[in-house]
Order: sequence, then structure tokens, then C-alpha cells
Amino acid sequence: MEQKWGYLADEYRAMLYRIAFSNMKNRADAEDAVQETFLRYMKGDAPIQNKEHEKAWLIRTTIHICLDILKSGWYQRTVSLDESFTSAAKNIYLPYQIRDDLTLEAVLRLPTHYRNPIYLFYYEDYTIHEIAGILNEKEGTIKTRLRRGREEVKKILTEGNTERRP
Amino acid sequence: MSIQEVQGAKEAPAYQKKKKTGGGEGFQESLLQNLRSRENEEETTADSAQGGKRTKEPSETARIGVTGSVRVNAAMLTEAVQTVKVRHMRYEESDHVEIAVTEGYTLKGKRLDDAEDAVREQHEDMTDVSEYNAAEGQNRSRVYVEAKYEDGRVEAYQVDVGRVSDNTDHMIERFALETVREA
Repeated sequence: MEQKWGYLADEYRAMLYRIAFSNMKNRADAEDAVQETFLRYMKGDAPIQNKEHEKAWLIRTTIHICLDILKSGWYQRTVSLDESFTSAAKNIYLPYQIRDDLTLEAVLRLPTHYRNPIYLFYYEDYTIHEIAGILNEKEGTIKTRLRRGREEVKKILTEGNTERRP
Repeated sequence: MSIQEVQGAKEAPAYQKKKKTGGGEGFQESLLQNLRSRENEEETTADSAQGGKRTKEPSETARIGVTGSVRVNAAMLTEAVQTVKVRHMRYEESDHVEIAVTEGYTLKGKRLDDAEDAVREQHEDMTDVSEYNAAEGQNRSRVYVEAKYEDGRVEAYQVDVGRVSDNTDHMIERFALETVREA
């Protein structure tokens, strides 16, 4: 059990945390979501076929858990005290250097259906085929969301849209 | 990956007309047929692609499951920029990354250090130091650049930075120069 936990943590924790943070925008909730994902995995909820499937399952489950938390009545009545939304990008520790925090901030402000494909495509370097598998959507849908999401990012950057969207 | 493999760009295999078959078995048979013919084509074009001379467009092998051909943007090719086989390099492996969300592409760059090792191995018995330095220097100035576009295309280039002007406005050349500075 400990061996399995160690493997999961080493292999996926950082990436899943980034994905959870891109949805939750605060550290504590992101960590909770990742932990819940691992718990579901350990309980054997995942019918894993191979490593790629395992990865896709973990990402998909993390996103679903985040969305469930965001939709919950409890969450919607609370306000995070530990981090301000404007510094969200600073809390995503990518394994490479990016020079443009503003664009990442804009991506994090997108509605969920644009944010997840864009974040996975650009910041986690997944292909459209992989994202379609992870999000259980058609490749054409992902392409459309990437294109429309990009237009939204441009709008946010030019208009300085500060409205927080779940 | 050695420099020989990078230079060994292979032709994007032509679409093979599938045999009309019915049911799941037929599909599998047709798939195997296509794979076999693709392998044959790769073998026959391998020799012509050796020696760094780009004769044909490369093929792309997708990371998971599927294989797709790549439409190479001819406008990207210059004297210094050649298309090569896509490695599917990860961000973590890259020396330099550019994420252009508003433009719809990402770029990953890596100096071809493994190519230097290959040169060392090939020229172990080389006594002429200047010849060795020239060979090594030539490889040191090469950068592998992988571009991924919003429409799903993935293209890979090898850039001979020695031939790139410092004030180039060519996207791939400029990025290769930045990669050398970052590495």
C-alpha cells in the first residue's frame, strides 16, 4: 500500500496539484482534491488498463472532484482567505519557465469548459487526442474550445476582465 | 536520440487504399496491412534521408495509440531550418519553452547535446584536434525545435544556429537562438 502511494505521489502529485489549482485557485482546496483523487484510486474505483489510462483517469477524476466542490452549496457560500485570485498563477509551479504570468492568469479566469482544454494543451503539453480522452469529449469539440478559449483569453487580456468565474 | 536518427527524416507515407472488408476483423486486417506497407516505405526511404540532406517530409508518430501525418509548413523552412522527425519531447526535457496561448501554438527547444556525444564517439581516434573541434562545433550549434499548433499539428525542425542571423524575425530561427542562450 505504501509503495503504491509513494509511486502515485512521485509520478502524479505535482501535475494533479497544478490541474486542481487551475480549477480551485487556492492551495488547500487543490490539495484536498488531489488527496480525494488518490483515495478513490487506492480504493480501487479505477478500472486501470495501462499507464496512459491511469494518468487519464487521475486527471479526469481530479477535474470532476474540483467541479463537484465548486458546484457545492457550501463552497459557493465561502470565500478563500489564504490567496487572492490575482496571484493564482504564482502558485502553479510549472516544471519549466514561463515569462507570461498575465496570460496564465487570463487562462485561469476562463469558464471551466474553456479553461481545462487550454490549460492541458498549453501548460501540461497534452495533445488534442489525449485531452479528448481525458475530458471524454470529441476531438472536434476540443479544437473548437481551444479556438474559442483563445479568443476569450485575448478579450480578457485586452479588456482586463477581472470577474471571477467558476 | 543520436544526430543520425534526427537526420534520418522519413517520408510521410502516402495514404494506402484500404481493402473493403466487413466487421471488426476486417478493420484489424486492414490496419495491419497499412502498418506493413508503411514500414516498407520507411525502410526504402531511410537511406535517402541519411547525411542530413532533407529530401522528403518527415512522418509523425503520435505518443499515444494513433499515427497521423504532419502537414509541414513550407514557409517555415529556410537555409538554416530543416524538418525532422517529431520526438514528442516533454516540457521537462526542453531547454526552452514558449507558450503562446493567444497565438495558438507552443514551442519546445533543445540543444542537440546528444549529437555532441555521437561526434565524440565517432571521432575517438581522431588525431587532428581542429577537425574534431569543427565537427563538434557544428553539432553544438544545432537546435531541435518542436512546434505544436491549436489545430493539432505537430512539427519538428532542426535549426543550424550558425546560419541564423541575430536579428532574424523568423519564428523558428528566433526561438532556436533563444534556446541556445537559455541552455
